[in-house]
Amino acid sequence: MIGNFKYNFDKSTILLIDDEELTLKYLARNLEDYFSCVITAKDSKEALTKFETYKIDIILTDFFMPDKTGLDFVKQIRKSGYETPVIYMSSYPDTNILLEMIKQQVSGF
Amino acid sequence: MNQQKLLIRQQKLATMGDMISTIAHQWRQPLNTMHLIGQRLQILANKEDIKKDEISETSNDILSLTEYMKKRVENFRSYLKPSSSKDKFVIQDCIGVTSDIMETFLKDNPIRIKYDYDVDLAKKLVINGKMNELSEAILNILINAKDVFQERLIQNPLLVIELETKRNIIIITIKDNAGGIKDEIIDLIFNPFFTTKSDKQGTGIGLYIVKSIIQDRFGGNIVVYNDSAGACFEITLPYLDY
Repeated sequence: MIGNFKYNFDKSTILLIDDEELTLKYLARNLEDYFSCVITAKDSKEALTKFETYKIDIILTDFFMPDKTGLDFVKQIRKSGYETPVIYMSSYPDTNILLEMIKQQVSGF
Repeated sequence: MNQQKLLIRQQKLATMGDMISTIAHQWRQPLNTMHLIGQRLQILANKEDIKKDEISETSNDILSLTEYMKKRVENFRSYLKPSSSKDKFVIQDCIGVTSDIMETFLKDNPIRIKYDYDVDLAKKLVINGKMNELSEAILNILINAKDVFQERLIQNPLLVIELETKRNIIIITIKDNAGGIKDEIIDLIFNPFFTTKSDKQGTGIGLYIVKSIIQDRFGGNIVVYNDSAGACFEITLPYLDY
């Protein structure tokens, strides 16, 4: 994926959500050249606070988190009227989860 | 005795299948992270200024991930290889290895294990026998509890492991908060082929084997009773001083 982005995210802010410390660290490092700002959160609570504090253009979220699932988080922001694009990632792909995420207008998997 | 050996083997094979899928599950996360690290190294290689600090930090992160993966496999290996097992072991080592294996079964699961005993005492207590056999017995009880937690959708599932000594025996108690075992079956659960699970899930030999291992291999005993929170499995074992 690196180096093959079709779009220009130079002026965008991305929010990364993952509870695994190292995954989050390297996702952030790999993406920092492509975005003007990379913000990280280790659970959905932190993600929500940061989402409300910063102007987030795109969200990349893990599915399994200790407090809530990525799906709960997306539902919550959609309920508040946000249409921020969301890309969902998981090491354990599951069709049912994917279908539910599509209902919540997820942009990528 | 031969039939019993066969049952133990059968049970072990079933556990092995579970373990292999657990390892595969456990390895996905670190493998993904290593993939990201590989991408990072590619990015670094294309930069004009070499960031030595970052490269050194990155290699340390790779080492911590491989160490984690190695440990997972080593634990399963020592558990599955009876010949490598010595004839004496320290009880704390056994609980440590068993808990480590159990923790991998519990990843992405709300079940917590509390160790409610004096670890320094447990490091001084030596048991006669093969460590992985006792480990297998304890693991069986823990996995049974996990299945009950999931089946009954217990909120805040908790397993408590206690250990104390009385004269020349160790008493290990494994308690859960899953509501306990029904009175009408509590006396039957150590019988061979007794199960409350469906055909797919259980063969009914797990707890029978637990009892056989503890009695025949360690000269100990196991009983079960309910307390206000759930089931309590009490294992008694003779020990030697360190």
